[in-house]
Amino acid sequence: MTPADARPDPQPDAQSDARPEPVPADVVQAFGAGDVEALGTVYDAFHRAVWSVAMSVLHDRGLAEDATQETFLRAWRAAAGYDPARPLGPWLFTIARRTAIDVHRRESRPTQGGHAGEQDSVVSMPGIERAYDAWQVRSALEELPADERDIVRMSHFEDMTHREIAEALDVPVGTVKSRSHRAHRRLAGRLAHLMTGGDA
Amino acid sequence: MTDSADRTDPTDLWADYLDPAEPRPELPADERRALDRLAATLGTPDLWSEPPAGLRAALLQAARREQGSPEPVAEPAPEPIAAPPVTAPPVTAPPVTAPPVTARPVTAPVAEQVPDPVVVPLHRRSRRTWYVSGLGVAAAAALVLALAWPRPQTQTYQIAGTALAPRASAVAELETRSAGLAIRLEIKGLPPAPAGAYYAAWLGGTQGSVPVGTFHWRKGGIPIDLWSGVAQDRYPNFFVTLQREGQAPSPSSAVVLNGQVGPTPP
Repeated sequence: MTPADARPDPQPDAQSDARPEPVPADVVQAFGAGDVEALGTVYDAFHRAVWSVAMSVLHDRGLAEDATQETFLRAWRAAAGYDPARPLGPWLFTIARRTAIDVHRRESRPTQGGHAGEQDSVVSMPGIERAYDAWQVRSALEELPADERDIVRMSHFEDMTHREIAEALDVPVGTVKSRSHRAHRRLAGRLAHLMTGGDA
Repeated sequence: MTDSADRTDPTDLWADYLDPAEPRPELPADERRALDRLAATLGTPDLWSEPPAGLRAALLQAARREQGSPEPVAEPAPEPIAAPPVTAPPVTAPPVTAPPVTARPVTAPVAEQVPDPVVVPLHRRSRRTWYVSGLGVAAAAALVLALAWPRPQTQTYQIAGTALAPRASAVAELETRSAGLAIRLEIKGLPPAPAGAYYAAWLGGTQGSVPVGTFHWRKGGIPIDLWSGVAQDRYPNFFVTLQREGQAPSPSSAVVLNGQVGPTPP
């Protein structure tokens, strides 16, 4: 994996997203035909990953709500032109990232003074280089069993030791250790393309 | 964590390096950089934050509106819960009557046409309009999700913000376990506790109030796990107070969330 600043606009491809498609083919087809119910299914499969991309760029829950909803609406509106033979995830990521950028630019635009164009050209998005990581990691976390995902969250986000996690979950420390290793092993395996230089 | 026999697979080494509780193995510099970056991402609050529960319903409603399809009917939202007086300690306050939201499942009509691919700028729409008009559908969708969750003993309740935190709301999932009553709280719209203060959650009943946990909500975004040693049938009033450090360990009058998680006592 290259440093963030050397990877300004990563695009996940089918290889880096090589995992079972979380949305059945018939639902993808219905999504392409504009089915609202299929949109709901696509949302269920990808909303956390899209949300993480939005938050990584915008760092604001209100704006992330706008960006997440707009991402799915844009995808749904444009789904007629989407090739169902291709994985849905990378396509959605591209829309999510662009939408988050659009929301950021919209919010950065001055409301008075008529310098919107100038403002757009200098807008900075410190979180944009993290959007790809956010998508990849959140997607990988979604594939973990809930008990393993909880341990990863407690370890990394809440800075809890194995002993503290064991007390919180009321399970033996050995169970936490084995689950933790299994979870991190799954994560590392799922994100191996990031470890071997295959950024996209 | 792994045996030496497992070391033929680099994934085990990466797993040990990623796990903060394990000694870090020696790895090439490029792999260390990649793993350090992954670990940093895993520690980011944004990564673990959750979209609001009503977002799905709002999205589908917006899509149906674009299609011109009839919107599904949802039961009206429950009556707003009256905030208790700030000066009245919640221990003695009468339990509010806020039963869990009941709604019928959402049924979506099949699309009749491919949507117009033209993207409408988001700022033309009012977020408030989405939420006001989608409130009933959001409540229905939240309950459908809760009912579909594969944990038969889990009960879900809506908790409302009080006058002190009118934008706050929460969903409380209660599950009876061998050690006690597990309460998972998903909060929205509650500001972080200021420095020197914290939030405390309580179960209240006719016999008084029992603490079930404290939190500060400064990172936000993830469910809060609380535990109670008493059952909600005798302590049916769930509420959250803002406490000052050094204050007596009893509920303050600053109630920010309040709701009913069990039967109303006679």
